[in-house]
Amino acid sequence: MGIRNEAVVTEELVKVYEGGVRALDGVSLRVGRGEVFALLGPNGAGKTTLVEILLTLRRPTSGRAYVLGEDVSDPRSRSTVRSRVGAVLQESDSFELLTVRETLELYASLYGADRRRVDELLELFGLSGYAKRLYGKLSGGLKRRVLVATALINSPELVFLDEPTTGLDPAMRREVWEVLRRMREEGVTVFLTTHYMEEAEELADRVGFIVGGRLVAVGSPRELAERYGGSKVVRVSGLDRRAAEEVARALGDVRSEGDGLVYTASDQRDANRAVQTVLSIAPDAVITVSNPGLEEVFLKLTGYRITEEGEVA
Amino acid sequence: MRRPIAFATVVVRDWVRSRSTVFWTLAFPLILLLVFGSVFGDVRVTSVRVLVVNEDLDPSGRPTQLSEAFVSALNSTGLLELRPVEPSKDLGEAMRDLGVYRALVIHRGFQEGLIEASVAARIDVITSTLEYVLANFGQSVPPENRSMIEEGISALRQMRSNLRAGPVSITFVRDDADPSAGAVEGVIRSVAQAFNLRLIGANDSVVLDSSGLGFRRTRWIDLYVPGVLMAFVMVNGVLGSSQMLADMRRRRLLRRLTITPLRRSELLAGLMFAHLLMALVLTVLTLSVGWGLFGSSFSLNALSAALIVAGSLLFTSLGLVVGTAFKEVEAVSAAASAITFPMMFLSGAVFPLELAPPAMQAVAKFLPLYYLVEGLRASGVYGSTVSFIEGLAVSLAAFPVLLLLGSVLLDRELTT
Ligand SMILES: Nc1ncnc2c1ncn2[C@@H]1O[C@H](COP(=O)(O)OP(=O)(O)OP(=O)(O)O)[C@@H](O)[C@H]1O
Ligand SMILES: [Mg+2]
Repeated sequence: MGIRNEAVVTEELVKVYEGGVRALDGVSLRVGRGEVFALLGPNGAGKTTLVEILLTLRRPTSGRAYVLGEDVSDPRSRSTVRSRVGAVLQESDSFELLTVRETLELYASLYGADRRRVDELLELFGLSGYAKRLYGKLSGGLKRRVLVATALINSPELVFLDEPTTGLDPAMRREVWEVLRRMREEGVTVFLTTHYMEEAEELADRVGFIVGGRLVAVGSPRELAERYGGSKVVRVSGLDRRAAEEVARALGDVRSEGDGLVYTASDQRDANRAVQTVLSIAPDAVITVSNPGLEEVFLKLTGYRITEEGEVA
Repeated sequence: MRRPIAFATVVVRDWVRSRSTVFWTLAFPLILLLVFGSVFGDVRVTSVRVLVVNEDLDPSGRPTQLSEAFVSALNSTGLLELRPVEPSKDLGEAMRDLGVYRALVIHRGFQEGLIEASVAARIDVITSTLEYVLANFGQSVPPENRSMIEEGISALRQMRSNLRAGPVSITFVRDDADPSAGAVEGVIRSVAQAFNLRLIGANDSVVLDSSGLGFRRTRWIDLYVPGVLMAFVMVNGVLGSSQMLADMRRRRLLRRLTITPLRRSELLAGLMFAHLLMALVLTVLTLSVGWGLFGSSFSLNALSAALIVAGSLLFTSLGLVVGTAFKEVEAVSAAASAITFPMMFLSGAVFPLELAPPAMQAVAKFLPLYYLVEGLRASGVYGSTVSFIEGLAVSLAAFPVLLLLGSVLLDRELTT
């Protein structure tokens, strides 16, 4: 079977919490080695539940899950899994009163890793200049970088990052992305959760959409866009209010995005027709035609969009 | 070993670098020690006011030499503030005027009585020495000498029977509702005793029991040093470890560490070990202050050291339970304070239980700290093992139970 060769395999995974919440409702998933996989979904979709089951922190109610070929429900494989993976848990934090170096050294001792690995990671994540700073005194972005570095101390084959950039401002988020790209260059398999479409688009080889404990679609961003996104997206901006109303009426199915309008065309021809319609109403309009992104895919699949805060709208 | 030590290092670093630690584990115990030390330990502090009526006057109307000496001995304890009252005055009136309802009356015949008593005591010493010689070496004493000695003893007995040997004539007038009357009486009693002994020259090495509040021969500071020490091993163990665990849980660090190779048992061992080291630091500091500033008589021997270790384990595991039993950090802090501060005062660690109401004394018997403090006093001050065994037994019984409960609670928190 392929279980041994995959980084993560789940089969009909179900998790029902004590209160009766069905957090996972039959999730079957495969993540290959060396892949960056992003699990995308709104708040409460079941992302953390899935990650924590894979990390052996929670037991599934039914179904199976394998990490690096090990069955996570088997108590004997627990320590094997734990020693071969790394993780940044959701909303996790570190000891405020340890310095950055001491933090990494702590994890190095716990894993029996070489001290040279500490210097290597400080270097890799641009933390060398902060090695002597207390963790508690760092900015949010630097803290996340330290957390990601601790997840790599044991040179894991697979790293779980549960919402690694939530709560960060866009600049800090990009900083962390930079770090994650470097990780990818190291050849580590990354299992990432997020509710930012852009983050998955930027980083992931493959994306899985999860809603209400169910995996609704899996594939590379491109595949998904081709399959579900409609073929072209027409974005129009620079319209005054009257022109905007007129364009909306003429095109029919549009949605607003920021101060502009977005029309999802069924093919190139339809896109061209839409561009002509817009120009005939407002010759000064700024128009871009692009391939659809994950946002359109998600919208098409669920009828919802995910807000900045991770809520469905 | 590597992993528990790595975790212990974190706990110690966290402790050393946290400001509240400096207060709870260094500043507060030292403040308490300084306060108690200077109130109860320093002989120069005057506290309780007592009226003195000296009726033992010589024919010229001046106080006799010995009654004066007795008053100045009382004065030198520093525990009493003495106010002389003319013997011709009405005592009740003087009490109302001065607002002091405690008085020591030295009756006429005090000096005479003391001299007689001192002669009697000397006679007692001689007779008992002679009796001792006869009883033990009687065989080797020639018969004629032997009968001489026997005659001498009977003559001395005759003399002795003509002397007054009762207690010296002083009276302590007290109000039954006066809470400090008992303590004052204790001071007077022990001064009188020491005074007697000194006067008759029986034993010059007896020191005036200057802090004889209650009826102990030891000074209070000697009892405070172990009391404060154990109280802060307790505070540090309970507050320190519960806060650390609650904070780690809030930061998801307990979960984070669970997915490293650090085992539950290693985490607990590291926590216990770190707190043991802190207890050691606390011990060194408290004892240095006790010895250096107050000349405390506490000695760190194998027994007292064993109790400090036992106390640290017991209270750290209590902190473990508190830190894992409640979800919110605030609830953990509240519970930890609700346990530590009342226990500190109710157990007699920093407050003399002898002066406490009986109900409070009864409560103390249910607190582990009481047994540990009593044990530490017994072993470190008196070199006795009696309370030591009780203290050790209480810790050895409670420690595994708490440790087990704590690790079960920790498990509940981490696997769902
Ligand atoms: N320990 C728990 N006990 C009961 N219900 C829980 C528990 N943890 C999570 N849930 C519920 O399970 C569902 C899935 O939660 P989960 O945390 O896995 O979602 P998520 O996708 O990670 O959401 P978020 O983006 O908010 O982190 C939610 O409805 C949540 O309320
Ligand atoms: Mg989550």
